[in-house]
Amino acid sequence: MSAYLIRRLIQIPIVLVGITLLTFLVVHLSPGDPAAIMAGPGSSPEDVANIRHQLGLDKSLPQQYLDYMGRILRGDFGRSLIRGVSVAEDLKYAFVNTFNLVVVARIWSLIVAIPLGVIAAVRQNSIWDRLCMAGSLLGLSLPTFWVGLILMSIFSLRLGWLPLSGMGESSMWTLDGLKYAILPAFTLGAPQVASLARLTRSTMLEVLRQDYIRTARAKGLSERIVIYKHALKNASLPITTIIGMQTGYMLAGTVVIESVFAWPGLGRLSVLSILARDFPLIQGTILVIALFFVLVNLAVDLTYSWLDPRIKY
Amino acid sequence: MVANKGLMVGLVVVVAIGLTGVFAPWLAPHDPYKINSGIAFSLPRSGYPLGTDELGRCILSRMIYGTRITFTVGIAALVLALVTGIPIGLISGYYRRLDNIIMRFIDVLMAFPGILLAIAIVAALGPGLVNTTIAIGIGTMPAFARLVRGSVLSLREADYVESARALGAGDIRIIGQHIFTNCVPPLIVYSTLQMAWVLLTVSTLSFLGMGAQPPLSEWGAMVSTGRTYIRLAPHIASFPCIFILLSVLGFNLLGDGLRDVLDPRLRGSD
Repeated sequence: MSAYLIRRLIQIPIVLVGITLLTFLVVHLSPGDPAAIMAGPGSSPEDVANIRHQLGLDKSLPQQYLDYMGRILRGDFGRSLIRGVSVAEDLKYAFVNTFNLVVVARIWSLIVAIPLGVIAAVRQNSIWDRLCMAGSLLGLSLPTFWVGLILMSIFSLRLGWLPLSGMGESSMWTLDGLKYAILPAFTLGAPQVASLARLTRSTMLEVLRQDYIRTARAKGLSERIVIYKHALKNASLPITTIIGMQTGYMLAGTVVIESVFAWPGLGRLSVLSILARDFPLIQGTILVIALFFVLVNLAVDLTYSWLDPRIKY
Repeated sequence: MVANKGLMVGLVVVVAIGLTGVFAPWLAPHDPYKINSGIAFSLPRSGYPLGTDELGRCILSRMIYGTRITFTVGIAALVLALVTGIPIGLISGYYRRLDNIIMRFIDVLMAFPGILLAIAIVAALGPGLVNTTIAIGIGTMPAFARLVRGSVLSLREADYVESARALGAGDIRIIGQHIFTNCVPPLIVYSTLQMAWVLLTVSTLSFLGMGAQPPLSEWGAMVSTGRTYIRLAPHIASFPCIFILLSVLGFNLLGDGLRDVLDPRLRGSD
């Protein structure tokens, strides 16, 4: 396990360096001159040149990149061009909020999707199965922003049961704060439920066809033990892969959901920074999102060896 | 059979919506950009089957013309992805030495959900329809490259490839004539399924303000403006969503059906 782990851990910085390079290039090769934007209209060429010098934009591109890497390693992500606050501060705050949201969404989607998928597999071609399949196809095709808007208008505007948007004053983990998280987390998790249920069902169907299941039944084990102890356990490996992949999609989903519900997380921050052409912020958010992503994948890989003792890295 | 039913339904839906876009000028009752503040926010009424939006424009007409925008961007992005992805996949699968480098690069790109990649590219190029098309095209490209590469890897060891080589066929001829033609079925299936995703992403990016800019009547953009009035006039945001849902559902059904027909091996245990 350790050799593989070490290799994976080494890969992470390499991938991250690749990403910083990409984001750096992406942002610096784009049209628009940040110095001119900051100086504002009606400023003299000296002002623009001054600002350019302050931001270090007059150095060569490779030099700028090295400076940027140096600063990142020291934890300095620069200052937001628009609001002037430290990017690192914004990122820390946003990261925690997105993390919380994703955790809640992930939990609820697992609780609902896996039993649904198992039931659909066990009672194949029954009403449950067909409903599950149709429902998941629908869930995959619905635009998430619309689901969010509809839920918002029903539960918030018309019924007044839940707060409209934002995160509220207190931390999310309090009873009061959790109210704000319900709608966004539900909308975030919904497409996941759809595809996870579908995939759980296919995986379970595959596993239930195996010979060892027949043996277990022939041995006289109760159906419940057969399903949970034998089938589900064996299905858990591919299901974990899928869960890992899905968390990536969930991160993508946060971009939309957070914008709809004004949840102050990474997704919303990235959209705002792009629309405002705030380069340091754009670079920072993309980097943190990528880091998040890479870490989740690593966690999923580590869970494999725990779930399946046969896998020795 | 369910598979055939799904395929048929999907095909009908997709073709219907596609034709709506093509025949937009004849189908739309009004000019989609004509502002008429006097009748703003009205629910469906005579002359305006789906009501009007916040500026009094006919929602149905805007949606019909919006089909053109969304579909054009979607098809263009898909074509871009195919045109870039297929050669990369072919080269990577056929030439071992290049495979490693190219695949590392593709892996990095594929590591990210397409929408994040698309957003990053829009970050560089700036908002707008053309940039969105490029962004989504590049975001989808790695998947196609991988798919083609996978097919090539398994196909290049085939007997007919060996005999073609023995007969003196050059690399290009082998790749183009033999290997590529066999890549086509999975490509068709995958393109259809990806189109569903592409359409959804186009709407999403426009909704976020990065794609179609006002006053273009792209569906996602319509939802975005309609959002402010969701309490007063929910129809402004909801009707475009129904079109989005139908097209995405149509392509999903079509793709699933095609997969069942063209390559049963690709199915899950359905």
